[in-house]
Amino acid sequence: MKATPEEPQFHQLILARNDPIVWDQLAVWLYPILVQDLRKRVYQETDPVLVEEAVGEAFLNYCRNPEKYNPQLISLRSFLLMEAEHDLKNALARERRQTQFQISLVSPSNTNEEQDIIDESQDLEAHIQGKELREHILSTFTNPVDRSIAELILDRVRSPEPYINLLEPSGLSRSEQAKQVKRHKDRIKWHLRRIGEHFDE
Amino acid sequence: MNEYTPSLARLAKLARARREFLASLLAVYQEQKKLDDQQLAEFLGCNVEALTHLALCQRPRPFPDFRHDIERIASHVQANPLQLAKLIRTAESLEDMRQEHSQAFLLAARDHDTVLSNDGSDEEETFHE
Repeated sequence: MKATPEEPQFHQLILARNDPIVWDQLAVWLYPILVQDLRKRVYQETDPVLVEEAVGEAFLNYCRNPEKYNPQLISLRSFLLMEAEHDLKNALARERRQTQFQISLVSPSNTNEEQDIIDESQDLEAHIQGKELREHILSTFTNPVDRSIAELILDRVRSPEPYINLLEPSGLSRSEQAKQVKRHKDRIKWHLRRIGEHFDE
Repeated sequence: MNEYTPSLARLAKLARARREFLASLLAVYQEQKKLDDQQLAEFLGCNVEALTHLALCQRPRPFPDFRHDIERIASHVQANPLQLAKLIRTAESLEDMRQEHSQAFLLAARDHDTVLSNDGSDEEETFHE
């Protein structure tokens, strides 16, 4: 896809970081086009909200790190579309894995796919073999935020956003948020491992 | 498929998690002052629809560019620049306070963990009922 005359202008303004309204102007121009482009590329039944979120994340990431885009190689529209499609495929794969994992918890007959999921899981998850056990484990957390984090870990949610939403570390930079999320996750994982050891004994 | 219309409001909502966007400051201010969109728009002297565009603007740079950026943004969304500057200053202060609280919490949690790791027998009391 060839770059339109507007694209290099927008890119230069965004790189300069001295016009506070340029992100909104670019969004007004390009965001609806990107969403429609991506919807055409994926299955029609794909949740349009997921499509929008993928485009949104690609757009916001570009605003934060415009240097990642090389206008010599590809048009901005194609670049953002490629990034969004990549994110969307990952999100869909993650959702599929979660659904399969939940099915495997309810019905522990091991098909090849379910076995793959179990193989991928971490040590602490190896101790979790059923819904009742899962509920028992979650009941050991008295703090509701800790319990919700444990649920996300057991569901193997790796995206930081759900954890950030739970911890609400607003006002922190991205890296500080990531550190805070990691710290909480490590603490909960440690607790889950301890529970696993008790079941082994 | 053609019936679906992409919404910039969704993008603005995603931008709340990005510190570089004004969306994050608007969210802090709205939450603290318990304002809905209509009330926020009234405070800023702009249309409700303009809030989405305001959210997608970049945070104003600090002095000496602050005033220029405020005027540029206010003109873009037809808002009152003085009210916008007031909102941003207040929200930044709230954000700083939250960050300090958060850091204090992390330090306290670290101290707590250190104590627990020195006495393994008490480890689970932190979590178990």
